[in-house]
Amino acid sequence: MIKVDEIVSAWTTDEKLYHKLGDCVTKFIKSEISYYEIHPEITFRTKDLLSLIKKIKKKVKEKAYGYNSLSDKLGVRIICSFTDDLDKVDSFIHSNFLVVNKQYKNEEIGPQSLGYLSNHYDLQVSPLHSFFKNKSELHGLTFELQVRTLNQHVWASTNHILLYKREGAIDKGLKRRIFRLLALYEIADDEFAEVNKLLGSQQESIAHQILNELEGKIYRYAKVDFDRELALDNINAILGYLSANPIMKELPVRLLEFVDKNEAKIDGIFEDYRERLHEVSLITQPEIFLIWYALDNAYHTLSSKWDNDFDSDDLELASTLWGIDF
Amino acid sequence: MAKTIKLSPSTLDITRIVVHQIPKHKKDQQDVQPRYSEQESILSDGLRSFFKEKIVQAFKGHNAYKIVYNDDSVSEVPALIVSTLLGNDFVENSKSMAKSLFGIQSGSNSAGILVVMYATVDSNNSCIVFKLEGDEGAQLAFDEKTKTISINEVKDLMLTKRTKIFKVALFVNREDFQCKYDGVTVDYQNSLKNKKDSSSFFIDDFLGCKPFKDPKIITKDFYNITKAYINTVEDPIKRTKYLEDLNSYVQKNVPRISATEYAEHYIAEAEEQDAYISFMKTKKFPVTSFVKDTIDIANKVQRLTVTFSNGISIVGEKGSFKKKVKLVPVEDGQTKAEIVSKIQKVE
Repeated sequence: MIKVDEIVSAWTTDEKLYHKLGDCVTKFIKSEISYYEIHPEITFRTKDLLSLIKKIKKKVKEKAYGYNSLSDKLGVRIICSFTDDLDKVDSFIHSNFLVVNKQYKNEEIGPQSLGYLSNHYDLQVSPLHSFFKNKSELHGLTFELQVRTLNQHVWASTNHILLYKREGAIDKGLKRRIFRLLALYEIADDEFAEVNKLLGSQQESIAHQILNELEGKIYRYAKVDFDRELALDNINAILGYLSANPIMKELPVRLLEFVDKNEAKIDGIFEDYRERLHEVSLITQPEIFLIWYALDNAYHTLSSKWDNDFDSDDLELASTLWGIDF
Repeated sequence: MAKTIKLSPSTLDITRIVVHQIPKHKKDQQDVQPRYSEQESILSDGLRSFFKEKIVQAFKGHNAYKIVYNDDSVSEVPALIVSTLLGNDFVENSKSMAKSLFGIQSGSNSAGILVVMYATVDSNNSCIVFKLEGDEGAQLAFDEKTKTISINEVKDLMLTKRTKIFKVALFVNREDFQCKYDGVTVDYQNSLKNKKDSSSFFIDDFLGCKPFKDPKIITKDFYNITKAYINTVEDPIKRTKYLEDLNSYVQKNVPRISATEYAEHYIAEAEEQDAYISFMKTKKFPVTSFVKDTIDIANKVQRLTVTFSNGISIVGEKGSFKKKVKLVPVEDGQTKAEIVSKIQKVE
């Protein structure tokens, strides 16, 4: 028999703490996962009281289970664009959290079972981690992290409404239709990942190549999403200016080397303007790396044509932020 | 190995700032005195960012150059800068700098505001000194309570009156950068006004500094490296034009020249300007300005000789070639030279 009053009392106290944990962990992941050059959607929720009580009631029928057994009082969710990103997130998690438990659910699920499931982790923040070291009130609290692709998320949401807990009662014909649907989701994910890879490796316009290469970089440094259409237009315009300049032959390889070589400098610029990105929105677009590269290597070519498409103040700003070496 | 001074808003951090007013006055005029701030000004984050960006902007372009303290100078300022770099007596040192500036100014110097900053560049101590000047530049309010000139008003002056930082110097400790120079400076007005005189009131007289590189050597290097670039240009007519332009440029009546300015004034295509700048950089030659002295190349720049593969040479005096010899490309990469004049002498 569970004591609901005690659960209510405990959760009324603990919910704020878990909310704080969720806020803290989410901010940390949003900020740090950008180093993996991906930009997934990250959300959190604390469990509502009613579902918390229902879960304990359900579990207690199966085994000794109580309030303290719950590992998903806080649930954090990461939704990635591609299946390849799941591995990056997995590496990130192992590098930054204490992993209490983990389930790669798709590896465990049998071929006859219905499901297209995300990776689940029970985690704690590490008291030794520099970001969490001084947040002692959060140490020892377990939370659940789900990592899924967009398709896994769609499947999970639909499946939850339509079929959850009804697997045994489904007739063969209906089950067959669900398997077909499920297969589509899995195939879609695999195809998305494959197409994404092929797009990256195919002969495409230099502007697209540059955008593809710089996409991860802007996530890494700016930690925000960007306007793709604008980026492509701007990259095309700048490449037009550089078309007769020898540096065109070296793109995008030299551009990427330039970004890597100037890692500390670029980090410094973004850290300095982190809270004021709205004042320097130009640097939240991936083409900023191309502009800085051109300022260093083809200043006259760039500046002589810049006014054709852009505001001269923007070049002045980009140039000032990049600075000067003596 | 020397470390590069990487100056940008993200590497520059201004920690202390103080402002003094230097009124316009005649020599020995006793009733006019500078107005000193007795304390440093408080810098908000917004103001700090504003000044960081303005200082970097001032150093951008091709007018900045490296300087060293001049041992022969009578200026007290180098010692005050060294003391400030060590973290000593910031406000008092700055007042002494203002007093020194006031003392050497004559009636021909504009009124202005002297701003001294204690800062870091890439976490290394730095001292920045700049002067804002203009007809209305010295009318800033003085807070009697705090005994300071409002730094906000300096910002307003720079924004509303569009007063730019024309004279600025940034000093560092040589040991921090393992370098052989003491700082970098820009004095835009020097190049505009005192065209004949390579000495600068702000840099030489006030700051007590001189160019890091010997003007004779750097001018010769500039000439030779630029000439080496010109020799890589395929078109012989262009080569002739560029060399004559180079000769004219180094003899221009200005105290400082730069590779960037040469490119912008004499090379027509932007792509070729970049190619030239890139060439200079690969030869480790600074593309910012330097104080020139053409004494070691005087013989070279006075005349231009074009030698043809058929054994004929044409010699032109300074600046005359472009006007008096018409070079036209003809078939097979050959060039036709046309001179219309009376033959004066044959020997």
